[in-house]
Amino acid sequence: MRDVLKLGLVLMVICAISGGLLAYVHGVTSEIIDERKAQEVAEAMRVVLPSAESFESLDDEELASIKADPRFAGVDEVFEGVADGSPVGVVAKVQAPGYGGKISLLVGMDSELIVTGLQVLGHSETPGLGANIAKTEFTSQFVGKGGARSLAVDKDGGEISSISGATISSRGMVTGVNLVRDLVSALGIAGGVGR
Amino acid sequence: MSPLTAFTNGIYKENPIFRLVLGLCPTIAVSLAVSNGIGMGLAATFVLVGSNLIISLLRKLIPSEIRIPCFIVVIATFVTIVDLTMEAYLPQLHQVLGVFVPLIVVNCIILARAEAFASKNGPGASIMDGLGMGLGFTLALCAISIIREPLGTGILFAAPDLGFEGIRLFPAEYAASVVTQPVGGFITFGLLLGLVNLITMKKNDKHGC
Amino acid sequence: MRQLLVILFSQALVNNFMLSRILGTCPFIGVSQQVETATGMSLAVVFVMTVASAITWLVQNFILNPLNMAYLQTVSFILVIAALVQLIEMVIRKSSPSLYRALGIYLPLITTNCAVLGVAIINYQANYTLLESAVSGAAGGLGWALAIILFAAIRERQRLAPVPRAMQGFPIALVTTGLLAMAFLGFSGFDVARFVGL
Repeated sequence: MRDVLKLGLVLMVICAISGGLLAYVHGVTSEIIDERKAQEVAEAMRVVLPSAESFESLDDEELASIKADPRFAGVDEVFEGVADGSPVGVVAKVQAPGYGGKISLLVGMDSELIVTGLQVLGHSETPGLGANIAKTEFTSQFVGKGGARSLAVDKDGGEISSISGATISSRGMVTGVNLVRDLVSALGIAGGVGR
Repeated sequence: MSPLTAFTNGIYKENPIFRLVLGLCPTIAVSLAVSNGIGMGLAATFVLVGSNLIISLLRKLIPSEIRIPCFIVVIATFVTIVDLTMEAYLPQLHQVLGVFVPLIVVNCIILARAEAFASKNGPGASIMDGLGMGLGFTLALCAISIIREPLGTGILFAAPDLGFEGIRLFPAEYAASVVTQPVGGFITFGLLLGLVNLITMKKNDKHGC
Repeated sequence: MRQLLVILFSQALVNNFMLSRILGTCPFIGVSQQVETATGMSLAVVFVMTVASAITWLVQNFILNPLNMAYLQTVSFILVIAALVQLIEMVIRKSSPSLYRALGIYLPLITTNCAVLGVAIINYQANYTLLESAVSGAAGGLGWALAIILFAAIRERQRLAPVPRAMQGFPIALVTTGLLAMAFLGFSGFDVARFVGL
């Protein structure tokens, strides 16, 4: 019994030292990592919604009501693009179902529900096939589309030509964009609806 | 064993990749570009040296019944340090190496050196052993990627984190992208290993072994 | 349900752990001399990968995330896996001697099989739910099992072939794995969507 206690104690001491050391390293590096990630997102936001001059995050109440809505389970973050003091669109970071895992997407959409830009932030799709969703050849076809009707891939009678052999990945992207479309409608900044 | 022999041992005679044939997964998975190979090799070297040193210092304090879990915690700590530091300062390399950075923890080379060398030798020799093994691993990764990178992409020494585009040897249309896929990794490494065996056999025949 | 089928096919065939993601190479080459031992190892791997996927998901979501200590992921996952393997070994030894005879010698080797820690990290990065993680682990294990059993069958025949002396052992095994990986490349065009009717 004594032995077991001693063994446990030794292992515990080593784990505690390890934990303490890692907490310190994490403290030092996390600032740099977070700053870089925030910078990357800020840059990407300007690209996907070029008409906005600045971006404001939603107030807590609005965000809480979005998070509580099961339709918007895939929504990570929402920012409102502002120009000349009035909202011009929304940039949202969403998770869409892909083939090898979830696809992390940044979608820009103006108040007319037209896609202004699209960027894949992360994915684990098959290299050479599904991974092509991240290429501009694929993402650029979303830009300028949308409006009254939700998007769909060509196989489902829509306007987005899917990557051959990667239907699920292509559909996942469309799902992500449509999610943002629903979100913008629900937020009520869509054209004519007003706030 | 003198520190010098402990160091040179890992580079050729007991090269972890070509002689001991340990740690194959990262070898094949990350040897797509020389910069990846160097990055992975140096990360593993840091973990090897660090864990070898700590384990050698603690070797008399750790009871033998729980030595393996203790070794694993020490190794995993160094791996996490590398992981976090790389994510902070070399983000693109971190992205490319992906899951293989945390997986250094189960790289058989590191646990094998802890068990076979560091737990039996003093800190000085253990550091040299870690350096030698790490350098041997790095050189082996470079040897494989120096073949795969140009054949697969037509470019040599591309290093996105340093802002270096690499040297284009021939146009991308002539590159065989299959070489950068797992297929190319297994076959390149297999053939290279055969070549090392051949050289060793020739040398041994000459010495009359 | 369909999402689970997609995970199953993607993890087992298209992104095969051994031949596409390159995880678990050491035991793949080391324990593939005979189909029988390869099968024993495979069973152990499928079992451990499934259980480890579920347990590490629980650790991540109920311990690490609430405490804001995601940076301890590598340390805690590998400890959990090592402890889990020990526990499974003890339980099997007590409860089913015949299963223990079949799997016993392979279990200690599994802690350092990078496919196990690999699947735990991949599940986390893919944001899977508990059920999706378990399916992903099982599928990954089954894919690895398929690869090693096929490979062992090839190696049994290869023993009769006149392989040049320098290529014997590891080199020819690696080249063979490469060719097997090439065969599995065929799955990358496999449109699961149409297959499961999604």
